[in-house]
Amino acid sequence: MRTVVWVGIAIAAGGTLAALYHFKANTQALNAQVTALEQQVERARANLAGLRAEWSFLNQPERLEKLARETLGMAPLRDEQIEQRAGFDRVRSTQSGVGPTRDTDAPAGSARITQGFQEPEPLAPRATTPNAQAPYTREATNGLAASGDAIEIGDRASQSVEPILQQVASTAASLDLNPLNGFEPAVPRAGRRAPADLNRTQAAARTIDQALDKAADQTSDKAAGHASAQRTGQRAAAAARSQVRAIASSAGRGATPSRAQPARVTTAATQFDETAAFQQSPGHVAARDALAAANALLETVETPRVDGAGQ
Amino acid sequence: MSWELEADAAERWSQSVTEPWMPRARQASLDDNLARRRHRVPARVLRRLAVLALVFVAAVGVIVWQLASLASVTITAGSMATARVVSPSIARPDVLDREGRLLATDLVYPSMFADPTKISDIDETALALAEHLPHRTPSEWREKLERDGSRFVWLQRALAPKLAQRLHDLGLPGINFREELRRVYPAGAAVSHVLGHVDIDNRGRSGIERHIQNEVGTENIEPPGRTTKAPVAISLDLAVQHAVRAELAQAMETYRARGAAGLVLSMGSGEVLAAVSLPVRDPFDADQKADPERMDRLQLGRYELGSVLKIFSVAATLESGLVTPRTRFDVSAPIQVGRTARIADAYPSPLPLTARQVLLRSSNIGTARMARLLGPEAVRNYYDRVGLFDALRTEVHDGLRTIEPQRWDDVHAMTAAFGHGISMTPLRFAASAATLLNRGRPVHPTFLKWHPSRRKPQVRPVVSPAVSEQLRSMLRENVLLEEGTANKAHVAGYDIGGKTGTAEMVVDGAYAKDRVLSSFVAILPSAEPRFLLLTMLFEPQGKPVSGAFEKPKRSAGHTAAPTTARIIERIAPILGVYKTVKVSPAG
Repeated sequence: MRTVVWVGIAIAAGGTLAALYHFKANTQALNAQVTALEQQVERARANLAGLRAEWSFLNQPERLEKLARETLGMAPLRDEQIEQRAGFDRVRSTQSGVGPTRDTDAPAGSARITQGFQEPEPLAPRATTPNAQAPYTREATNGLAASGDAIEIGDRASQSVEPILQQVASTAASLDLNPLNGFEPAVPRAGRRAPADLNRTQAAARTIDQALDKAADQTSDKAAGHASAQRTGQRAAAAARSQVRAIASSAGRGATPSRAQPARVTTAATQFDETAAFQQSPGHVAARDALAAANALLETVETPRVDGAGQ
Repeated sequence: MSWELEADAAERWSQSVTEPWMPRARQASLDDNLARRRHRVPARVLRRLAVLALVFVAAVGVIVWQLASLASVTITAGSMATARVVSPSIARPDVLDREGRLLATDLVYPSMFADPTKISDIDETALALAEHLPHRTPSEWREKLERDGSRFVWLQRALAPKLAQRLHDLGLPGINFREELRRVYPAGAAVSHVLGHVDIDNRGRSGIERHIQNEVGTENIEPPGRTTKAPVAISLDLAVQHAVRAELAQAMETYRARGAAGLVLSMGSGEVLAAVSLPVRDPFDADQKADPERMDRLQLGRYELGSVLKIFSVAATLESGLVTPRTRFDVSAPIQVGRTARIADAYPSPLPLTARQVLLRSSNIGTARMARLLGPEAVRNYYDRVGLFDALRTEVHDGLRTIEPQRWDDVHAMTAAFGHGISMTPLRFAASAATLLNRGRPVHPTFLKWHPSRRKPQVRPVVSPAVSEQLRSMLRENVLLEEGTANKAHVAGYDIGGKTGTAEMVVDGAYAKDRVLSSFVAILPSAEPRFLLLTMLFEPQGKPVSGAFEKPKRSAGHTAAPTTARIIERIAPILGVYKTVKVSPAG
């Protein structure tokens, strides 16, 4: 019994020790992790401080003033560029001829002061004030808005071109043509590259839209007609093939061809001819024409864009 | 036979091993067997065995103890030998301007040091160092490395991180690196006079940096890292500071001046919004610290400011009750004082001038007569009331005492009335002028951003508010009227009031006619003063003139006053002061 107790104690002690070491190792690992994280935080803080210092350095008023003057043609803000509510009131009262045109902030005894004091000139209407250093003119603002519109129209046009292109491609694929040879889908970039001549771009975009709609309609009509023609052709070809197979097998069996056989062969041959003629069928031709039209269209799409970007 | 052999082997095996799974009877016989054997072992052998076992157990115990104690102690990087040699890095709080723009911050830079005893080849090391740090020759590096007895020598503080990496990659024995904090001033030279400087150990030595060292406190952080202390917001507005600086630099060029100074003071709170002294001091250029031309003219220079002081003598006269603004003074003839000196006016008037006109025309004779009327004691008392003689202590500088005449007799009172024979720092003058014009309530300039918690104690006016009011309207007229000396400071729509001062500078104990200090003190708006501006141009030559008989005008009315007008036009929109009358620039 005593032995059992001793063995138990030994196992317990061993277990405790093992657990102790396990927890200690764990703690050390966690400690290391904490230290690493703290270092990481410290590093990040130091980097942040560096970036802030750099930002502040780049924002030195001296540097900003130089850049603003040289690259943007700006000048320090003048009081005339700030308008307050009081200013609007004054414009109204000046126009009605009763406004206070005297320096209203003059000290208490302003009657005394007016002896050598020049009356300020009547206020010019603000709209006509020539101000070369205003940051944006109204025209420029309108222009910006218009160019934004143009870009949007261009984007929309290119989006509507996309499905048509796909349709053309799939139709052409079913016709066993390779539509994407010879041009690449450059249209989606049209709007983004052409903010300069807005009217022309807008007009071009509209033309593209309409033309592409029409082309899409035509293409889908012709493709539908064409698909039925193709189905007929396929059926005929399948029939011809089966007949040829039958003829061949009967020939293979060494059987003497019956009198009916030449007639069947003739029929099959005719059907083969029909299949071949299908290549020249109106549906096929129409689809090819549609493809050519789409190609030509894409070329006209490109022309105004290049002009616009050049200006 | 074979069975017997097997039985015998089993018996012998059972005798040598104790197994708990054995039957009890068998176990007993085994014990007997063992007991019999033990009797056969001699006692001394047993003793020796016991001693050996004890020694063994003790040794194992020691090993286990050592292992346990080793396991329980964590070895950290802090026990590196160098850490004890170097003082810990001083981490300082950031400095921001009143709008939160960063003006000063701590960055972590590597510094290189050597343990000369560990350097294997001193020539090779010196050559390698000189190759990467060519500002010292190999022999100079050698000299640095050859410090006898020392085990620690700084080689280069605050290296560029990439350069430090290259040097580290050389793997020179005995050369080590340590990260240190370094103070940087990303806003550049614009605010260097106010911020002051720190020494190589990042301790603040002057300006706001010294204030932080003494009042705000720094942190010693090891390993070097940034402090968690809140940043210090100072009263300057970097935008205003830059505008003032740019306009002053422009004026220095236009009027060919040697130096300039500008101050924008918020009269309500005493906050200094801009304090510019030109030429500026580059905070990263150590040579410029000792250059007297680049010192802070606003707080470290004492000047005879001249006629701007007339605002105090006129105010003193009005406050005495002896005169009103309409009282006339005879200014037709110069006043002879002593044997050589003579008080005269630049533009003498044959007619007597009213007190108001004395200020507007800046008549020396008129103010001298006022001082004679008051008496020296009264003049000095009044100057003292507005604080002109006190050293102005701010966060940036302890302040310099005003140098006043040794004796206050009639002559000295008369010259002091127009600002001669008394020299003070420009900031001292600005504070007193603000006190006079702020309805007499003392204004104490501060370079820290005002915080609602710093409620100002209600102070009694030291000057009568009525006189303050009279002075303000006179200053306004000085700018507004053609007759005023400051009419070139007029900007239509801004309610500017001000006083000019052109003082001949003292060179070798005598006044130099061609070297003047041109200053202009202005308030904005004069009816309800919010800001006080002081503009100074040192030794302006005036605008270059074309005519042969034309002399360049260097007086304050032609230099400092128009400069102030330009400064106001530029900073007023930033300060939120708008024109009351708008005249379109094109007419």
